[in-house]
Amino acid sequence: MSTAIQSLNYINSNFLMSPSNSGRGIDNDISWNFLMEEIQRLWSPKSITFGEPLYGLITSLFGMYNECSAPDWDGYGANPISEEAYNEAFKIIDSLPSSIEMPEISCEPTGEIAFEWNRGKGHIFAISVGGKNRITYAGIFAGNNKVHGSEYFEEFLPPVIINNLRRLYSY
Amino acid sequence: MPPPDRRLSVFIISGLNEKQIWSIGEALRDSNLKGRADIIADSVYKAELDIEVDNNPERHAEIVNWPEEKSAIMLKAIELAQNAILLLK
Repeated sequence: MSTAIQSLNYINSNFLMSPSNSGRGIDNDISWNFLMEEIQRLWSPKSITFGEPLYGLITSLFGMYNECSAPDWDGYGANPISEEAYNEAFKIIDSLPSSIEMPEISCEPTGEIAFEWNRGKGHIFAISVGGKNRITYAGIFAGNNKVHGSEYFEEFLPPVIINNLRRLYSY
Repeated sequence: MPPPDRRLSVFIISGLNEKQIWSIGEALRDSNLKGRADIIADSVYKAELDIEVDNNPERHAEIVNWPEEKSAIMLKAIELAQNAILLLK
């Protein structure tokens, strides 16, 4: 078995700790189940390497920041991507569960950075950050079920984000 | 996603051929044109959005009536995107 997981700060935060921001460690069923699945996955005989897609995502983020950090970068009056938004997007990448596919990343005219997981029509989930310690999210799932909302974000992905990602990948 | 003023600029392409459609974008974007997304008006109305035609320039319109809440805007944008056809230049 060979397993390689690249993490920017040598710790994949979400893998090791509860995403609840409570500092109490793994304290709910969602996080516990998620952790157990991660452990089972890592000890499975299937070889995986995440370094390359993660590197690609970081490269995309950096390129996008260069391209969209000036006012009116789209010619339609878009707000620039701030350094705070860039740093927050970096934290998102760092805290993504390693079992989830790497998302597509894009600049939004509102000056936010968006991540999108698209598994085909009716199976899409997206989040965005703008450097204000909030994650905005929206998604469409099987059966045309729709969700949207926003959550406080500082270091760890809120459970609602992880839940929706799991929902997306559960069908 | 719509711009901060929540008026998403579009062009009505009914009756135009491919060359004519691309020429609209090229006139606006020149070498920066990356692609386009085609969507039928019915998909816009089904997402409970509206289209305001101003013909300035000719065939120009805006998708309006976006909600105020950011996450609700995002959901509408996803609904539109999944019914649109993306064509890269």
